Amino acid sequence: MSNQELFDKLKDTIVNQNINGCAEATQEALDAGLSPVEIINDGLSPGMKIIGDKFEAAEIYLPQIMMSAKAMNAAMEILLPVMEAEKGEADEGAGLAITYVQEGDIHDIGHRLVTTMLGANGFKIVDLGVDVPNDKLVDEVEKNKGKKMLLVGSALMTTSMLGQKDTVEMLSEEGLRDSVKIMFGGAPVSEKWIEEIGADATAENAADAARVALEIMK
Amino acid sequence: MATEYKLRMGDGKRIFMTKEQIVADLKEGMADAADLGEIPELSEDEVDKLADIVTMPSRMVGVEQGKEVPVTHDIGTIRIDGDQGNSGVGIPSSRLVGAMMHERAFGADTMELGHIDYSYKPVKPVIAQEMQTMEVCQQNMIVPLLYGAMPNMGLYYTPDGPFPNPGDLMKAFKIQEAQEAMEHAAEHLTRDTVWIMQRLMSSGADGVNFDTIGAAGDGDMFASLHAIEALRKQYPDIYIEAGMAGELLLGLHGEMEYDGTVLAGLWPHQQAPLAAKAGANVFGPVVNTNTSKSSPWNLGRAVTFIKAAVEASPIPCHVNMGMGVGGIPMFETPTIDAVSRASKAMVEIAGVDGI
Amino acid sequence: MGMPISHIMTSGMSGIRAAGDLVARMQLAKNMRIGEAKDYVAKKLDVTTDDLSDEYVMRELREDLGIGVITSVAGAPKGIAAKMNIEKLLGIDINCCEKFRGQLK
Repeated sequence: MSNQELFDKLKDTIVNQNINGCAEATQEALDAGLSPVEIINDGLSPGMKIIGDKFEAAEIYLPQIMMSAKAMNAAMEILLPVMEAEKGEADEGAGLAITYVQEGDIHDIGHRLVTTMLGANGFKIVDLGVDVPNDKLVDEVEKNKGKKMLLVGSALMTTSMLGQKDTVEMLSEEGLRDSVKIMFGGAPVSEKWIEEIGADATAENAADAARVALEIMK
Repeated sequence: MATEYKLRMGDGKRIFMTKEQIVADLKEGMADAADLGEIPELSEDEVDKLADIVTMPSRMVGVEQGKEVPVTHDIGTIRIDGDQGNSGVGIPSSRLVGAMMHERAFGADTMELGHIDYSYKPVKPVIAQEMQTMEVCQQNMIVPLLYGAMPNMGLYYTPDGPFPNPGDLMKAFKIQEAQEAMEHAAEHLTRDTVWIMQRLMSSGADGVNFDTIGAAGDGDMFASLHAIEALRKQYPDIYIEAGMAGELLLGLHGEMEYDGTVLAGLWPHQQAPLAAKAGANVFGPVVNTNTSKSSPWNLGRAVTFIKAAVEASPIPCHVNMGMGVGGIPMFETPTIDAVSRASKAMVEIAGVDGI
Repeated sequence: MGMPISHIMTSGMSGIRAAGDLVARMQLAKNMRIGEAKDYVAKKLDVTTDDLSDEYVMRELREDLGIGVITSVAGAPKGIAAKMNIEKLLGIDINCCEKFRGQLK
């Protein structure tokens, strides 16, 4: 089987929510000599991109996207030990993702999805839950200073989105801004807003969030 | 230099746009709706008329005389006495006073009674008070007075209700268990809503308003449609309004069906026939406002979606036009210029039967 | 509060200031679309459909028909009494009127 055929097989198992098939295809790709990074970037991630697009177009729904995430998770359970062995004990994988919903907001469907996607994509997760005040975020970042760290905040409402600006400012005031990458998501969040408040990235949906997160943590 | 018009962003902020920019945004919003819903775009004449409405110089605009439509009201009297940081203005008053203010001071065409939490489930422990209040209101009022609340199926999951939270189960990849929790919650929601409305009908209610159907996904609509069906069967003359929570019915379960149609992923023009089939008299379609886009973009999009829903619906459509829906900015005190323009556009271009 | 009032001013039929309650009642009672509901009510009131949103026309007519007026006219039917007259006028049954009749000894 050619490399492209292996990548297509990996992609198809994600798109078709084939959990066992995804694990098998991942092992097959490793056995064929492909690296974990190639398997993720050229096989699994394109599959998640298709899933994200289908979810966005309302062609598939939450259970299906979660099954695809589970397939991705099955692949990552095989790939992570290989990646750790290749890079040594000290490597932190994709990094530590601190996920939360902004203070004043309890809408957590998107937050949960993104948290799951990041976990499935090799991030270690600290889930702070909903209605999280900025003080608590700053404490958590301070506690993990020195680690490869990503802050992932969600807000459904415009009113709670405004708190994201304070988050960035408070981290800057505490001298922690350079210790962490910051992603914000949620219905009202736009690229323009991200630029205006000095965060690092946003994404259209949960699957895209995982792709963007991996990209900015490179 | 081209003339610039005073307009709004989806969050209500003042912006200035040229006519060219306005038409471009109207068309872009329209195309987004047409693409997502696989529905027809507006005609060139309709786009021109929309542009005329948004560029009218007066602060407030109005429908042409003779084209007026009934304006129905949800959230009960909470907008008068509510003081929970929502759209309520915190005037201490009884609900009878609030309802009569709507009828006699504001000129509302219909009104509804609701309680401060505004979900059906918490009505159960206070049902006797709701019945008494309905009786007193009906003795004093003339406009149709419905009982209204949100199905809000989320209240049936932990920590608020008896069933495991599908959000937690999904996160643990327990997909089937999550779907079963939704099915159980839907059964209870249907049962509770019917029980509550049986009592309020015995107290003289004109009918029921299901407000924000689908807020907890397809299970929420499944339960609401079955409640509508049961109420219609028991009370052939009950007035039933079925108002949606969002433009797209979220597929949290993904496989629930009503009358052979999968509920997940339905757009307003697909939701309306199902509400009618279940037995609703009036359907309330919703299109959400994007706060990062301009008011012409949002209005072009909303009018396109709603026009298709009005055409597909066998029953009257009263479009939802509160804050953050129907082309109205997502803001606690939506600006009158934006509300008025969106209102006129929905009546004259989308052809709604009411608001 | 400004939002519902803005809608009423822009598009509404003014409730019992004019005949908005009657048109809404026919939509809710008989699934009538806006044109059909207006035609039905206008015929019953012997006015034009434009008159249904005209406070000048409806003010006196509502008082004459005993179907409720917005100001506090002493002796004019209010509440259930006004709705009983609406039942007869529009040819429909109204739930609270049924319940009221059921309570009379």
